[in-house]
Amino acid sequence: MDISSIFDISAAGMNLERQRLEVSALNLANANTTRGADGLPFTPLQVVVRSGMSPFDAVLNALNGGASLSGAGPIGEVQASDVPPRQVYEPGHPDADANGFVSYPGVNSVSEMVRLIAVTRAYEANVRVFNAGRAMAMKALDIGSGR
Amino acid sequence: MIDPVTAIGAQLPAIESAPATQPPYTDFAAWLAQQVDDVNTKISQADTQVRQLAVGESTNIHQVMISLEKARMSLELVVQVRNKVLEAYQNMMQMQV
Repeated sequence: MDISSIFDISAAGMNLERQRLEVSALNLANANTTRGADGLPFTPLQVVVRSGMSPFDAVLNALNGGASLSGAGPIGEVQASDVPPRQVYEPGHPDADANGFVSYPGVNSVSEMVRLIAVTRAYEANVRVFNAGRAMAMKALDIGSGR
Repeated sequence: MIDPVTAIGAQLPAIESAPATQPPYTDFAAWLAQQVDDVNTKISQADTQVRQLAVGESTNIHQVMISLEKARMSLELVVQVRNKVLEAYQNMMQMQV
């Protein structure tokens, strides 16, 4: 059934939004982490999204008349974002440098909150697409039963 | 300029009187059995995923829901096919001889 490729694409979208939410949660939870495993302050992460369709898939798909887009869903990669750390003057802190400044991770709470809203809405959009595909398939099964 | 009127037959592609090859014979019973098998596989997959979610092995809720929906739709398709077959059978049985 061709509808299932719609479901696969929606599932890829939902997976991506879940990953973005996970990264936002990690950033917000570590907003005050001054010492990670490597002794440095926590580095804020970001999700970089690329298309799941490789050039080979694209050529093959074009040869088949664009029949299936099943593998074309987005793929997210978690990368460190190069935001400079936030310097706070706390001379008594054990992680303070010689001048008494502590490096906090450069997590921007406001933009993380905005991302939270965007992620929720994008997830809902994917669910809406899934439901539309399911409704179409169910409607197709109703063909001929209107007697 | 307007083209002169020509015979229609020259414009139309030749209509084949009969298909050149017979359509491949397919066994309906085998097809239905395979579909039922397919539905069974999908339902058992969904069941496994629900169980994994319940015991905490999997955290992918939407994947579980999508599997459940796929199983439900496959079942619906097979049920509709069965309805049509039964309807045809009953029509045959009610035929006046």
